[in-house]
Order: sequence, then structure tokens, then C-alpha cells
Amino acid sequence: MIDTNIKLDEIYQQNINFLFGSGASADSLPTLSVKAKKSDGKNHTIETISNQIGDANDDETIRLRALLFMHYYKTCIQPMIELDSNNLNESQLGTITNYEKFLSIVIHMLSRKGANLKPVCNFFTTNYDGFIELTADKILTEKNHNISINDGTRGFLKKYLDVKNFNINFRQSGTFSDIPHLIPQINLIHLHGSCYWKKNEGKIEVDYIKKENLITIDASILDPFSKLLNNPKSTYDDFKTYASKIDNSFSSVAREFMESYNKLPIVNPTKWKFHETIFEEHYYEMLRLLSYELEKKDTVLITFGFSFSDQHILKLVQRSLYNPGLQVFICCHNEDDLLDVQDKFNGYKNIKYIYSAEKSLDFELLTSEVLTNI
Amino acid sequence: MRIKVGEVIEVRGLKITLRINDDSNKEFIFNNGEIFKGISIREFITIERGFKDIVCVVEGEYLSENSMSSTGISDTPKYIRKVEVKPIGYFDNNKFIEGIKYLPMIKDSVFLSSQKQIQSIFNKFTTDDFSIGNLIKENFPISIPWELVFNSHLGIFGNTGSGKSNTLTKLYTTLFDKKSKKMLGKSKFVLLDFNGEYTGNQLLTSQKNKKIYKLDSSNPDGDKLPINSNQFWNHETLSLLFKATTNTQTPFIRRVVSRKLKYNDNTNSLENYIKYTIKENFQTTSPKKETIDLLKKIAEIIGNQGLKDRLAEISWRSDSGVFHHPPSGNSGYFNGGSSNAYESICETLVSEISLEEINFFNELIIRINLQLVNDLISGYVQFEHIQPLLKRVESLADNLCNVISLTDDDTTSELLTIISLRKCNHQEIKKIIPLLVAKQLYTAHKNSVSTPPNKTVHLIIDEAHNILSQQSLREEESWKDYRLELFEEIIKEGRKFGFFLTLSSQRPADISPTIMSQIHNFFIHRLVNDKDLFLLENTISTLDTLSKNMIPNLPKGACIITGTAFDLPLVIQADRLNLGQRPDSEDVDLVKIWS
Repeated sequence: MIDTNIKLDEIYQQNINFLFGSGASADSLPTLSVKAKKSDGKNHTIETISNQIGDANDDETIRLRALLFMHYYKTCIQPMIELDSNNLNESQLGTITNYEKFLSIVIHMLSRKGANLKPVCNFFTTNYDGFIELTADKILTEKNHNISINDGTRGFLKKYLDVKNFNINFRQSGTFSDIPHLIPQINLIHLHGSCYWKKNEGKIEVDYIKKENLITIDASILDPFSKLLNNPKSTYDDFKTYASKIDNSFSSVAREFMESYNKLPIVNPTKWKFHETIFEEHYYEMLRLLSYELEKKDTVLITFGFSFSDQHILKLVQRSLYNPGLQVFICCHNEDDLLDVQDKFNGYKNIKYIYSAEKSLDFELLTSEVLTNI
Repeated sequence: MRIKVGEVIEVRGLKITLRINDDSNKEFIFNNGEIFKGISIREFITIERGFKDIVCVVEGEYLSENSMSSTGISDTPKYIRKVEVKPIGYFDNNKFIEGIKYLPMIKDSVFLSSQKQIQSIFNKFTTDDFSIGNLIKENFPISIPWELVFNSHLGIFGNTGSGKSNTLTKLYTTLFDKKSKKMLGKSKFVLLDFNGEYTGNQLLTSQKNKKIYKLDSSNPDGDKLPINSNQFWNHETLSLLFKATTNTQTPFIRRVVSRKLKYNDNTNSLENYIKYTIKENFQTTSPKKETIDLLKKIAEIIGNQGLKDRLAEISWRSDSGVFHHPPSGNSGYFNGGSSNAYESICETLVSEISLEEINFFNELIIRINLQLVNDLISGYVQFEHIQPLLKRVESLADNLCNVISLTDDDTTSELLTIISLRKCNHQEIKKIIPLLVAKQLYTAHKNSVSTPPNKTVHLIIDEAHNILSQQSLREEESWKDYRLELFEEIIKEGRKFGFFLTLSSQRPADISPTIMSQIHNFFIHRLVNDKDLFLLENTISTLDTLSKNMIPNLPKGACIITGTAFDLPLVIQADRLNLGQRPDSEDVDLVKIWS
């Protein structure tokens, strides 16, 4: 079924889960697509290129892979790390505004949930960027909402992440009154890691203050490669030739880069998993959390900017759709997305595709027209 | 897929109590992509009884305490959510049938009704999409069974500003939109519009099949409503119109009318009558002094200045009891038989009388005057008895002739006729016109329709309390009775001939109870007056308690539809019409006026 909006009054009393993908930050951060074309004429993405490179461990492959991830690090991860809440550009401010509106809607919904129902909702995201954290901080300080945003950490000076912390709720009661009430709570779950995470003595430490730029990249080597990637005429062979032409000293640079890159607590835009057991463990815990939530009675999952190209999550959602009490709303950016997702979920009854034939469904439209009561 | 929510624990007559499994009170519940509404008052649930699904409506809910847990006595009380329901019908082979035929038994399972099921409860008649609004609680468009609604008398009631006019307009606009092409030549719609709310583009967008009469009682050049003259030349109509007294004035009018009808086919019948009467008046042996003024009046009406001047010269000699024409001296005495005074003084003038085209009311006044002269001469009547009638005719005729014209042809071909009485300032005209229209339509239709009816007439009366009120103190009894009787006859017998009334009013309590009790289908908007509510309670058999309690609190534009065409009372929010189609009854916008 195709619809144009999600009626808040129909979903507000359910167990609400959001799943956001790169589409949510698309305005401020580059996506994975590049301009170079595949042999079938379609656009390459960093994902498709890295799949083509393969897992081999020979010198040539490592050089090429290192180049690709250098490019990825430079264009996608570095801006995230360097994201400075005091110094945002216009598009970043736009994204923050959208998140702000979105969170206001969610808080409004949670505060209306009624007696006997926990005012909690889960926000799953596959993004590593810190927009949601920045926005959460903003509305907590500026708007003075009585809400708890739970990132799953415990600790004072050092905050460590643990999935069990998502089960913690805050209750508030007046100084003299005996009647406590639960504070609306949003659980922030970064399914693919976050730029604020780092490994510390067998645990995941979350630090919102210090963000280190782990890797320095030689621009003279990377820039021509980036140019190649964004040239519509270049092919995979061009990348290969470029990688082999760089002088030999690059081989060791490449290995070094890959080593530090692999330490990043993020899931790469491919099917690859975390390279660290700690991160990997947490990754599974989070997926299990998502899976459990979707198996509950009276549950709603709303996805936005998420293409379901991650096989793990796709399979997980597909399996949960056998739960008759689950209702999934999938927001499709445009018709191609719609057809693509419809193909993936063919035959499931409890999915509604949210799609607008007139406008492309971006974050702005999501907050202004999709999540409404009309 | 269905959601089981509980079971039956008590059946006490039609009062059924259910135990609900968990105390969930969610507004909506999703199940396999279908959306269900949670249990709350006025929601529908189904109880499975064998192959039948009994549909019940929720009337109340409460918690009952149960301190016994399965393990023994527990400290914390446990609550059971209980719901009281009333059966309204059942599903047989997925078809909703209204009425209580089956009742559940204890332990029967209770299921939530899906939106689709609720839709099929209400949309029994969706053969043709005829939607005028959305169900207020379930919020989906509801199609009303037009074939059962428009062959019945309709009543639209509600306080002022509650959206009556909008509902009326929406109902008929939808009808014309869907059916106007097929109705041409078969049905006629006449709308009596007291406040001029429908004189624009409302109801029927095409002006071709629509005729608007904007009646203006103080403007002789305004629109005139054609009324069949046969209907007018009827002593009963005339007596009522002019409030003739039963003993003397009514027989007098009867004489006027019968004389007219007797000689009507002769050429120049009125002209000859005038000549004859003047001659009689001056040649009679027992003249009456009042007659000269009557003759003068006639001369004035027919515009014969010469005759008028001559008559002015004639005076009454009370000593001898005859008329005298002083300029003619002694030969000027009109004293019957032997005198030739009439021939010498009047005859030439009288023989020159020739009537131009003369309108109905003038003819009526002339004829009354003539009849009075003749009756006076013959000694049938006392002048004092008839004179008040004459004055009434004269005063009303002035106003009436501004708004109606008489015709012999009463076959109007327009699909929709709108009669605006906004500028009829005369209270009596406001009552007479609808009466004439109703009578004319009804008689003409009744006489020409075949059985079973092959054509219909729909008379729509907005603000019907204006003319169907029983409580008018200013009116005479006979007039009031006649007025109500006519409409009562229409509402009692009209259905058989295909003559239907639509009444819209803000004071149902004012309307005659006979009329109210014959209305088949009701559209009830917000009503707060106790009298009105009491009346509705007693006249509408199909209104249930739940809906009735809602009437004083309905939001603007919402109405309860109930009646013979509907299984269940429907509470709908009528769609608001587009700007051009709305009746001109908008609220005053003070912000705009005072800006």
C-alpha cells in the first residue's frame, strides 16, 4: 500500500521505532555515490568499487583499497569528525533544524502516550555522524524539554557504552509528592557505530568532546584519484592503473593507513564487519535489540533515508514482519527507491510505503507533511 | 486476520457484558497491515457465535476489582476491564444485516472490528457513490442510499449556525451533480427560500435548467411568479386569502366567482357586466347611496376619466332617496322607471366603455365592486358587512400583484425553481406565496400523475417554521387550519403521488406535530432547546439513546442521519461546500467589517 503520510494518532500508542539511514544527513554530508560509471552504465558507488576490489591481500589490491578508503575518509568521515557545533554551515544548520522538528514531533507523541504505556521510543540510525547528538543537546538546553535522550552510556568522566543501559528509564517526582511519572525517553542507537566512539580497555568509550583526527592523508596522492572517481568517463581500470603508477613507497603508507582505518569504530559501507571484537560484539547486541523491539506486540517501525541495502538489517526486518502486530512504514525518497524497496519486501502485508508523487520525500517533507495528523 | 480481545461473561437481555483480556486502551491497533480501533464507547466489536458474527456497539466500560489471584489472596488488587455492549445486527456471509436476531452466549469470543468491517456495516448501499460527508468517529466517507432518501419526506433540523443550510445544499448539489441529466422532464424541484440564500450559483451550476424568482413585494417591476389563474378563481382560495368571514363574506365571494365562471366564455363579459351594472344602478327603483362610490372606484380602475367625472357630479338626495345630477336640473333625478335621466346623462359614456387588458387583481376588485352594487340594489347584503372585505382585497392586492402573475399555462419545464422571498416584507405575502405554490404544484401534479407515479415533484422549504408553525397568534384560526391542512395533506398523501417535501428548520417544536410525525428521514444538527429535543424524542422512532444524547453537543456541520432509509443512525460531518456553491448564510465577519 502506498500512502502519503503517517498519521500520528494511529501510531502514538504503539512501541515506536525509527530507522534512519544516510538520507537523513544527505543535505550536509556527501553520499556514497561517485560519478564514474560501471560497465553496465549505472553510477558506481564506493560500495560497488570496493566490492569489485575484493578481499585479496596482495600489494596492488591494498594500494587500490587504501586509495578508495582514503577518499572515503576524506570526503565522508573527516567532515563528520570536524563537525563543529559552533561553526556550522548553512546546509548543516538545515539538517539540524530538520532533526529539531523531528525530535519535537517525537517528544510530542511520547508525551501523549497515556497511562500504562512507557513513553519510550527507539531511534536506530546507520549514520556515524553526530547530527542527532548535536540536535538533542540543542533542544535540551534551548527548549528546556523535560525529556531524556539515552545514548546507552554510563559513567562520569568517561562514558562507556552498553546495550543494557537502554533499559534505564528516568522517573520524576515532586519534592513532596509521591506520584512519580516517567520522563519521555528517546534511545539513540547507532547501528553502524559513531564518530564519537573509541575503544578503551576492552570497552567502548563515548566521548563527545575530544574527536581525534586519526589519519593524515597525503593530498598530492589522493586528489588525482578523487578526480578520477568523480569523472563520468573513468572506469575501474583507470583506478587500477593509477594505483599501480604511484611510486613504491606508497605501499607501506597504504598498509599503515588501512591499519589505522580498520581501528575506526564504524561499519564500512559494504558487507564488511567490524574488525575489532569489542565493536563487533556491540554491533550484534544492537542488531539484537532492533530485532527484539520488532518482535514486540503493537510495534511500529518507520524508516527514512534508508535503502535496505544492508543485508543484515534487511533480513532482520523481513523476519520480524511475520509478527502480525508490527506495522512498518517505509519512506521512499523517489520512485526508483519505491520500486527498489517494493521489490525487496514483495508479499508482506504489514508494510506501508510512504511516497509522494509530486515531491521527493526529503527530511524537510518528512517533518512537515509526512508525520502529521491530517 | 482478527484480534481476539476478550469473552462474553454476562448476557442480561440485550445488555451484554464482556471481559477484555488485558487492560490495553490503545486508540489504534495494527494487525497484519490492517488497522483496528481499540475498544471505547460507540465503537463496534464483533462477537463470534458459530457462523454468525454478532455486531455490538460499546455503551460503557468499567473496572471491576478482583482481589483473588490464581495463587490465592494477593495484596495488590487486580482489575478486570469490563465492557457493556448492545447488539445491533450481525454478519451473515460477510453481509451486514441489521436487527437483533441472534444473541451471544457466555464464553463467546470477542473480536475487534476492522475498518473494512465497520465500513460494510454502514455502507450497505454502496451501489452508487453518493457521499455528503464523513462519519464523524470512523472518519470515512459515507454513501447515503439516495433512492430511499429522495422518495421520502426529509427534515433537516438544527439551531441557527449549526450547518443546516450547508447540509441541505450539499445534499441537493450532490443529487444534481450525479443525476440532473436523467431527471430532466421527469422531476421538478421547487425551493422556497425565505432569506435569499440560494439565488446565486448554488445547487445547480448550469443556469439552463434553473429559474430564480426574486420576489419583491414593493417593486412593481420585479420578478413575478406565475400562478395558474384557475386556481385563483376559486372561492375557497379567495376567501382564505382575504380572510372572508364565513357567514356573509364567503357567500359573497362565492357569488363573485360563480358569476365570473358562468359568463367567462362570453366575449367582453366583464365589459358588459360593468355596463349592465351601471345601468341597473341608475334605473333601479330602490337605489342605495353607497353604490355611487363603488362605481367611481370602478371608473378609476378602468381608467375612464369621463365616466369618473360624470359620476362625481352625481350626488345622493337623501330627502327623496334617489341620485341627482345637479347640472341637469330637474331632469337629473334618477328615480327609476319613468325617468330618462340615465339615457341622457350616462348612457353615451357607458356605451363607450371599452376595457383594455386588465390584470387579475383589478378584475377581482372590479368584480367585487360590481357584485356589491348588484347585491345592494337587490337588497341581498348590508354594505357594512362586505366593505371590510373590499378594503382587505385592495390593500393586499397592491402587494400581491407585484409578486405574482396569472397564467393559464402551468407547465414549467425547469428542473429547479428557486423562489426567493427575501424582499417580501409583508408578513402575509410570505405566508400566501408558499401556500399558493404548494397548492398549485400539488393539485397540478396530483391530477396529471399516473399510478405508479412516473414523475415527481420535490418541494424544498428552507426555514420551514415560517409557514408550518402552529403557534402564530396573529392569524385567524380558519386561515391557520387551512394552511396546515394543505401541508398535512401533502405530507400524508404526497408520497403516493410522488410529491415530496424537504423541510429545514431551526425550531422543530414550532412545526405541526402531524407534519413532523410523517417525515421519513431526518438530518439533525445541534439542537439545544429542550422543547425541540423533546419533540424529536417523541417523533423519531429510529433515534437511539446514544445518538440522541449527542444532539446538543454536535460540532458545527455535523449531523445525525436517521430514518427509514437507514439501518443505524449515522453521525456524519457534512462536507463543506466550495465558496461559490455555499448558501449565502455565512456568519458575519466583524474583523473584516470593522477593519
